[in-house]
Amino acid sequence: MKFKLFILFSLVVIAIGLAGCGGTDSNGDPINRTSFLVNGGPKHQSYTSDIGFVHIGLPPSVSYTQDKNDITHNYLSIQVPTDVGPGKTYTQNDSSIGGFYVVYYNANGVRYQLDSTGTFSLKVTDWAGAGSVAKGNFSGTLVNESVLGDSVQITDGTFQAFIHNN
Amino acid sequence: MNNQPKQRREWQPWHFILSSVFAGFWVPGMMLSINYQRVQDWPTARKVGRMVIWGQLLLWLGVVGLNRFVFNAGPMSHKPWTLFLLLTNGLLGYVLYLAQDNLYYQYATQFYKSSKKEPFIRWQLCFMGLLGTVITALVIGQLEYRFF
Repeated sequence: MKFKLFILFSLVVIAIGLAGCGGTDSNGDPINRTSFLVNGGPKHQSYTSDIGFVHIGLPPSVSYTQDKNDITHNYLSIQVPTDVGPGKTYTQNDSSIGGFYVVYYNANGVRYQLDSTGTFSLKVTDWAGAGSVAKGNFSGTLVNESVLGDSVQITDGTFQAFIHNN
Repeated sequence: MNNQPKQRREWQPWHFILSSVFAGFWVPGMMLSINYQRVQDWPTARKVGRMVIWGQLLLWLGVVGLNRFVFNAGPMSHKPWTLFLLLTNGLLGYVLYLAQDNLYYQYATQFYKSSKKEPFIRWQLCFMGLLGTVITALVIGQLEYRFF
């Protein structure tokens, strides 16, 4: 009986571990994933993350890629401030390197980021702290600060990711 | 032919100043790079890392040029050491760049995927940056002291 309980407990621990480290949910989709439209389409960009939300700086951040071996193209990184919680909404006015931060690299490696000249909004719908899966949605304008007038419209953006302790 | 052993040059204040400037150049560059790493903007962190390395190589060329042609220090036979120093600098820069950029990203990813414990990433980053700066300062300072 004890042995069976041990096996069951081990399976639960392994399942939790896999869920937190780039695993899949009940639908077979990656837990750490994001999806969004760039300039209206034609189809959603779908990226995944190997890790999830981590605290490399104090605020938690997550990075998603289309190809996990390429971190310079088709790449999206989101950092939310430390006061993050369910229902919180952040805009371009909250943008700072130590707070709210969004950067996107397109297929050509061109960098677009939050900027005061473009409106952007990210709403956190689920955030129950370390060990849970964060969810939210986002849309708005990201700006190429190297080329005047170059920007991308992000619409119908959703994200979700496991939250790590560190 | 002069068969007398070469005299080692005395340590001079400007050696120390140049070493300090050289070693100190890492600090703002790495802090900027780390800032971008913190928000997982890895492509920009990589770009800044490259700028630091190239900037430091140029600075080294300036230091060596100043030493040789302005202060007229050391005979031409020291040229191989000049090359060696440049290569050492480049190697150190490259290793540090890899350590704090791509390799670190891969390492962190693998660590999260395979380890039961979660890493204290930010402290590791700070430690690596600090260690790199100290090692660079010590190595370059010693080389300058001994061979210039």
